[in-house]
Amino acid sequence: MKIEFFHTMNYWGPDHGDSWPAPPRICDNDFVAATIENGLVECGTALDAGFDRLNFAEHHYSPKQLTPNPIVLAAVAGRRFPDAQIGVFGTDLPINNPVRIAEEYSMLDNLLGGRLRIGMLRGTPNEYLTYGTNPWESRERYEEGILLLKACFTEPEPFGWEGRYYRFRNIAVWPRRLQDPHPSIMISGNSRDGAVFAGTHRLDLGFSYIDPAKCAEHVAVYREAAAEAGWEPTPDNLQYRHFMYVANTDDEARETMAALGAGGGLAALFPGASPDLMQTMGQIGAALAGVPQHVVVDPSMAPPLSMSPPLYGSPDTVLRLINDIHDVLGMGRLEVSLGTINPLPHESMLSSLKLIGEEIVPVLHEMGVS
Amino acid sequence: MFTEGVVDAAGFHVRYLSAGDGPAVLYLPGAGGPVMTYALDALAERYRVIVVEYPGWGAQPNDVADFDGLAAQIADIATALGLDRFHLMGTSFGGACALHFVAAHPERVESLVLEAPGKYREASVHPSTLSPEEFVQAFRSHPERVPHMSPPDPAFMERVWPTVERLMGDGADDRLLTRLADVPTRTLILFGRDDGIINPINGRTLRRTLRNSSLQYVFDAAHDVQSDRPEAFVDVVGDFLDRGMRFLINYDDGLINP
Repeated sequence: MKIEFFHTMNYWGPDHGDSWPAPPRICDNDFVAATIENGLVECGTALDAGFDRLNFAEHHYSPKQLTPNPIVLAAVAGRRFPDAQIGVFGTDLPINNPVRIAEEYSMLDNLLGGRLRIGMLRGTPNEYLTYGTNPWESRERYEEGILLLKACFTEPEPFGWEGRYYRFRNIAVWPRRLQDPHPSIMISGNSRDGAVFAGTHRLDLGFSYIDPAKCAEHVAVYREAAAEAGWEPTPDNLQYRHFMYVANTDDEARETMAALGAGGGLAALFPGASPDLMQTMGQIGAALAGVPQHVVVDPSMAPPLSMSPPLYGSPDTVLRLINDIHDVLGMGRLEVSLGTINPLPHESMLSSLKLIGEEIVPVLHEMGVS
Repeated sequence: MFTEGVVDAAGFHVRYLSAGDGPAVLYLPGAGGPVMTYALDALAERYRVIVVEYPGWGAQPNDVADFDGLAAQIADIATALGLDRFHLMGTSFGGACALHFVAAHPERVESLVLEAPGKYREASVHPSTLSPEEFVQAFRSHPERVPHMSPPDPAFMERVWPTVERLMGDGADDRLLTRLADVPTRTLILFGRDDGIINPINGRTLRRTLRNSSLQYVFDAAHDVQSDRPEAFVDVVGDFLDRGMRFLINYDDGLINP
């Protein structure tokens, strides 16, 4: 199994606001510079520790991830670490222009000499208040957008797209992507629909934070859909993402995470939000889940967000947790961000990365190898 | 079609104009008093819009000392009109009054709309310092649009302006900000990007203070947003009144063809 380092570029400044969007006035550019520079140092430490890929993702209007366009950071990291594999998992496709995204990834693929994998996601509910995307159209835009993206990567002649949600009468992406037919594209398997779509269209499948047993159900339908489409996914097509923190003992890991404000999930963005804003988020979340527009959602009736236990503990404990997940999923790639949704101190990050490199990475690299 | 009525409240015969059915929107106009606009007509197609003429703007003088006093009079007027809980909308001077109202009676305000509110006026312009041409330009990016912009009637100004000046004070009312910080009412703060009277930067103060608020700039509009860009005004205000903070969501159908 490979292990990939997801760096969130979590803002180091002391003030993260108490709701979303966070006001730009609290952003201190000295802290931004420190966040990015130290973040790149941490990326280098992860590579030295044996991590197989550096990954970034798109999020907006928040100090929790300073990467509204992760492609920019991927280019910087890819040039700074010329041997590193780079991943962007991912782009929130329905809120973006798919043709523009194809152009940016094609350029990035060339800049990185083909060291690129990418992911297309639908984004969390708040992202739908970024560029004014109708959330009830999310899934249809997403699926059409992925197929348009693949066409942008593969069509050799200028072409037009007369879609249901996208109309472009003139497309010709330059530079042409380097990898043939294109960088591998992963989508989220957290929903059953996503798993079927990925299998049908030869896409990688990624899971984030949810119960591995639920993931396994979706892997099964992914494999079925892939078989119907005439191909067979390998472990390398499957990725599982979670939080990780490894210390010398379970108690030390637990105490460090508790001090950090352990816990993740979207709710951590909104501790001080008004009930009106939470209702708005609930409405969007319901829309993304397929609830019709006319149904006004009561957030208090929503099912609780269920996140499987993060990978915190001593090396032995964390290896046992990973092994349990691997037994259920059979994934070939584990993607981890260190700590919680709050920024992990630099020294804690470095020491944990080194410990992971010594105790975890060698075992994972043998895991799943028959 | 707005019709005129009179209600006795707070010791005044208060003139008002109303139109429409549906949830009530009590509208506090600018210092010049009620001006009928396309935007109000359009809102009245979905709401019961009641435009109040302030006590003292008619024949009876009003020696109220401050905005809290005027807001108390508005509360009495609303009660006399049979309004318990309602949407409150205020423009400029009316926005300042609406802020005092919601600070005193948040439980009565379903939602609050502030069009170029005149309470906080950092880097702003006093209308009395402007020439007639400057005055028109400061108020309207599009003075050619209906209703046509015309300078205020001198007789009206002589009668009303001392009251306006007394209530507006210096604008920098930190005590009100402290009270507003506890107000949970959802609030839409609207500024024309080219407002020549109240600098739109003052919207930031309110956005920062009112925790349940949204600040929206209207492009190519000056102080009188609803006359400069009436369709845009009705879209954003109507969506906010209809959906509350869910107005942030785009409900527009993006399907090109099935």
